[in-house]
Amino acid sequence: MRAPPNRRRKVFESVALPCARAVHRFALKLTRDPATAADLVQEVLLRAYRSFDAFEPGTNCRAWMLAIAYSVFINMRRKGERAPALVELSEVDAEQVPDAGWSVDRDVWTGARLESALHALPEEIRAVVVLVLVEELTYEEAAAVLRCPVGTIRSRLFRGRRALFTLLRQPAAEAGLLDGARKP
Amino acid sequence: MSSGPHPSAALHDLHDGRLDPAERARVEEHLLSCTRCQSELEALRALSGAARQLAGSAVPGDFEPLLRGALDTEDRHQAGVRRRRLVAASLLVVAAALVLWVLRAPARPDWAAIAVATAEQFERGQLLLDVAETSPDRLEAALRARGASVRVLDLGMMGLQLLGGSVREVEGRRVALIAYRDAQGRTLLCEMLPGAGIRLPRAADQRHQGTLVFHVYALRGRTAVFWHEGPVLCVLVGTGDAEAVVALAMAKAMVPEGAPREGRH
Repeated sequence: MRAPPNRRRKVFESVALPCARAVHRFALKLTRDPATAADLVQEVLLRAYRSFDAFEPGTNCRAWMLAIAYSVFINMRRKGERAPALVELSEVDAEQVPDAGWSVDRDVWTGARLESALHALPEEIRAVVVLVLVEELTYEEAAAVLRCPVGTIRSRLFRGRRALFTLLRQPAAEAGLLDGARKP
Repeated sequence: MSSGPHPSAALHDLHDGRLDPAERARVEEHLLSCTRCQSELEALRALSGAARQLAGSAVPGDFEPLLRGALDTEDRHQAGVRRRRLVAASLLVVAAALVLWVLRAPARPDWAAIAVATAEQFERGQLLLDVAETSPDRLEAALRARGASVRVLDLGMMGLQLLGGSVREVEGRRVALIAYRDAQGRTLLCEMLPGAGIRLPRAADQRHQGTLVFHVYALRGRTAVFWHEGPVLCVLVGTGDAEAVVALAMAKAMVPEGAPREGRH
């Protein structure tokens, strides 16, 4: 039974609207373009609002809306609507992390550097990293959002982290932050 | 530093809390003696901490007002859709009620009652024939000359003597009337009128013969049988045996257009 419009709007605003920030973060990471991300968030919000009766109360609304966001993003990309160019997986070789030198100075993990390293990741790996590390979804919830097996989430996350270490080491090395050998 | 292989993937699983107790114990034992894996685990923790900080990143200042505005627009749109659906549903109900009312309303005029009343008037001598003519050909010509769409059959083989006919205006339609009499002196009236748009009242009985439908009415001791012959509505009204009147109507209706009048019945 559909709730009366006013009550439905109130429930939606209290349950779903707070998740819009997470959708915005995810959209921004996926699209790498603020304007496209804003459009995507609005589209996701409207779709969620229209199909809010399908949302099961008590389940993870953030994961539900992120799943809608990913679906909208895939559709946008398919239609070529201001979709970002995809980075090929081979461009970032996750296995190139050297065996030594993990003790990166904490100064390297700043938001701006991490953001820029995230943007360099291939989309399918970036999506997993954002969902699990930034949005703190479980592997299972991330698998539901991206409609893929949990094993795929695990392997992509592994490769994503390795790739981030590679990407973050470069500026860290340039800044002399690796292994505590800070430049003067 | 440990000399064994580094359990990199398991290290990530350990960090994410996805190892069973036995595997966890194995990895933790390795960690005790492997500085490389200790560093990687530390890096994983640092990465997770830094990534969590991104969750607090700012959104545009007009973020929420914009979204609420989009919801307002959607609400207005949905309200419009609901209104249009309501109007459409109401119109549908009104239309259905109208159709039902038209179908259930008594047919006006009541052609069955008119036909029986005409027969009664004729028997009481209140309705005189325009043309007293026993020849079918001549009667048909005379009635056609009066503007009636009519064909006159010779029913002599069935014991019916042709008396004559009239053309009258009834309820705005030009109605041809042909009168016969049987051996017992009972009259049988046949009327023909332009049938377009005529809705007959609910019949007590309906008979089917080929594509023809015969509507049978019993009223004040008389039987009236209606059927359509193309654009013309025909009615036969008689007294006595109802089945005989129906059979005569069916026989009359089956005579093909243009067939010779003599010896067909």
